[in-house]
Amino acid sequence: MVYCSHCAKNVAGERLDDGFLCCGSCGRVLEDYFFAEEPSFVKNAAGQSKLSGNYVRTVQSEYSESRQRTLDRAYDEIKYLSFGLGVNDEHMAEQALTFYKIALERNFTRGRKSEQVHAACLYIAFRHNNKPYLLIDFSNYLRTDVYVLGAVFLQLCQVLRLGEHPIVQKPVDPSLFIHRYTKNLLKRGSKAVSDTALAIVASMKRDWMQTGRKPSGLCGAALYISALAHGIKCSKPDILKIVHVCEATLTKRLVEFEDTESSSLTVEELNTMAKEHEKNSMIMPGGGLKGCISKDLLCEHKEDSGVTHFALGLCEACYKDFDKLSGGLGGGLDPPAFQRAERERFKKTLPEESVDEACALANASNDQFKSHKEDLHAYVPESIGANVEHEATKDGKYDDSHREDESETLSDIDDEEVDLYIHDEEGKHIKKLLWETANREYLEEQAAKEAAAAANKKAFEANFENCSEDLLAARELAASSAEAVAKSRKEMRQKRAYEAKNTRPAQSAAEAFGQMSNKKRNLQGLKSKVNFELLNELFDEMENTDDLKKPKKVRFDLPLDNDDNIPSKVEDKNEDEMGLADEFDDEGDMGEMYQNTENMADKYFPEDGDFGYDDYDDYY
Amino acid sequence: MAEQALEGSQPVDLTKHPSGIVPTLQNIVSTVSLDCKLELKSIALQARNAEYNPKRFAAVIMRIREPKTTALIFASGKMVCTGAKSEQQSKLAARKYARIIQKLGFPAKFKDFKIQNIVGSCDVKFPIRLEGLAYSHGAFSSYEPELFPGLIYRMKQPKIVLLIFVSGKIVLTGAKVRDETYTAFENIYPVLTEFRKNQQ
Repeated sequence: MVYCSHCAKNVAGERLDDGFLCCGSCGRVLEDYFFAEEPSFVKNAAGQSKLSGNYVRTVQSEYSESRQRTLDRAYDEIKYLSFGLGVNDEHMAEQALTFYKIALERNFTRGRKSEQVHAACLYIAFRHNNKPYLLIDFSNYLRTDVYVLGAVFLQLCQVLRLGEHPIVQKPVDPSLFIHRYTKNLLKRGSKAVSDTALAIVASMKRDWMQTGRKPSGLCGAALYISALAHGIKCSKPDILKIVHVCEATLTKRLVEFEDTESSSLTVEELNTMAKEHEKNSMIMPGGGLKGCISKDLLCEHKEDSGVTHFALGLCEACYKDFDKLSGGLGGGLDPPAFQRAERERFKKTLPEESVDEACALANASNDQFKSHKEDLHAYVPESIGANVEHEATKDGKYDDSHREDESETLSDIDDEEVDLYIHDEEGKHIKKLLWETANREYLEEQAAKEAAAAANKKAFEANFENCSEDLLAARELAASSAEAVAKSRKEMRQKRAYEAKNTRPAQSAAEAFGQMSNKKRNLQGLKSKVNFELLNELFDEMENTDDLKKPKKVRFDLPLDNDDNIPSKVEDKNEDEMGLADEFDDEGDMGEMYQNTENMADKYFPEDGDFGYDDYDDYY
Repeated sequence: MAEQALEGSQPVDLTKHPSGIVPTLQNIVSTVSLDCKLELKSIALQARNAEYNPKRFAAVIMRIREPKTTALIFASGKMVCTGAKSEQQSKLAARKYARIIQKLGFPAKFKDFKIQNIVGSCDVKFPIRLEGLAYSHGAFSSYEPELFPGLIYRMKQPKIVLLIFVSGKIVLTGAKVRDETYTAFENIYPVLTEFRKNQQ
């Protein structure tokens, strides 16, 4: 319905022949324009057809389309991972997606596999909600190394600032996994077996078997003992398949449990003892905490007012959690690692040396290797600083000349000992043969590289020889160019400020004009102008590169800059050859003059090298 | 091990070590600049104690017996020396390597010697409940028994990383000065005594 001013009422509008909108009654034209609604296509620079226009971003989502697609894919992957592990609660996936969004905003996914980041986010959500899953379960599902996944997890906790959050502070409780493992072992699960296994795990905690141990190993041993005690026939491989540990670990845990007092109890006695311990868990060990010095609250509630210190820097609730999770500070046997250390200390008092000492030495060498690796990584940024220190040392060289003379000669080192490490002629020959045999591939690669470099050099020389004509004129022109460059360089040395950059090109252009007007050459003048500007442009590029570096390094790196110029010269030659073909088609004389210019350009390079060397000397 | 016994027999300076335990230095990493470009292939072929596999690692690996150390020698003239047990031994070893390089015909000097890392270890001789440390010092601790059996404690002042194990053995790493290791251990010792196993 459209309003018609002539009829003074709303009428049904008609568009005849897809044209203007007209009144159905009186025929008055109401709208004399129309919009096209079909999609139109345009061709882009690559020649492909593309839908014209852009998608307008909706206000409902704060993310771009690409980011939203990434998040949707991440949510699906996380959900599949959660369902694959047996957790059908979508809230876990939603919580993990929240962590993933934060990680994505902080570019945590860059350089890492996205599936590992998904797994780490989901693992944090599981830890937060006390889901009984370990990193080894994610590792098994993704077919990834568990330590790679663990590294991603720890780094993600850093990114999410979870260092002070209970998610990371509270270690994993092995009791959490007993029911899941029992269900996996016995299909339908068994409350009796689970309860006995829980009692065994609690006993292991009191006997200090848990600290420093993987939770899966403890659960496997407890489950194995409990199942056998209840008459269920299961073998060690059945347990190993569920808890993902190797047989040696399971056997070790079983032997350790055998040494404890709880291993001699019956099932009824074990359950009775577990109930007694639950009742007595509220009682603190008498006099056990007398050595406690600190009265400050250190747990997660330290910023809450009203919460007071209870023991060990924890409030009452946290202390109960700690006591339940770890088994407390009192009672039980010494931890197995401590017992081994005690036995080693006892053996040291004996005159005989123990075999474990070799293991200690192996561990020490492993520590050295680990430290060595870390320091190699730390050494890389240090080398940059070392260069700076190196430069600083040069400045102060004369102050320490006497001391450095003494240390530099290294005359105090015993020559006789040093000579033992150096081969004689026969040794050199034999080692050379062996080394070249062992590194044949490397030598072949090096030979190939040298051949390529030689080929490039030959091509460069061939171009140089072709320009042997008009040598004198080219030399004269190169000398004048070098002189102009020298003047420009001197001026820039005097003016180090950035403002001088603005005036430098003008001065160079003015000088170029002065040079050209003095020569009074029409055609040659034009050619000289073109190439002279090219040289100035090249020179400016060098200066820009130098300005980026430190003033001290400029002097030190000048020889390297000369080396860098060789490839650019070769490239310039290639470009010139392309142009030469066009010029040759037009006139023979123009080609000849072009060769003359090339010769001049060739002469420019060694002059510049010499000048750089002189400048390097001026620094000293 | 012999050094540990010797240190045990010596009286401990209680003013400096109130705990009565002195950490033993296990490894020292140092760097030095020989201040000249080196031809690694000729070094590897002339020296008996050198190995060089350019496809694997772009440095010569050289070892000497006394002090027992390993050095990485790069073509740029930089050298890394590892494996020494004290600062003096590390410097002596580095100077020996530099002397060997000199004997092979390179104008090697000895500039910018610097200790980069010191690793120390000791034993407090009582069990430690790592879960308690993780609970009360969570901001500095990282205890993931599934990944590593010890607790990783990142002390802020001095900036040292400690590995604390249930057996009572402690590893201290990241120091550049010996006193940093000692200070870090004296800082952590009262905390460890809080979480030691109670005797019945």
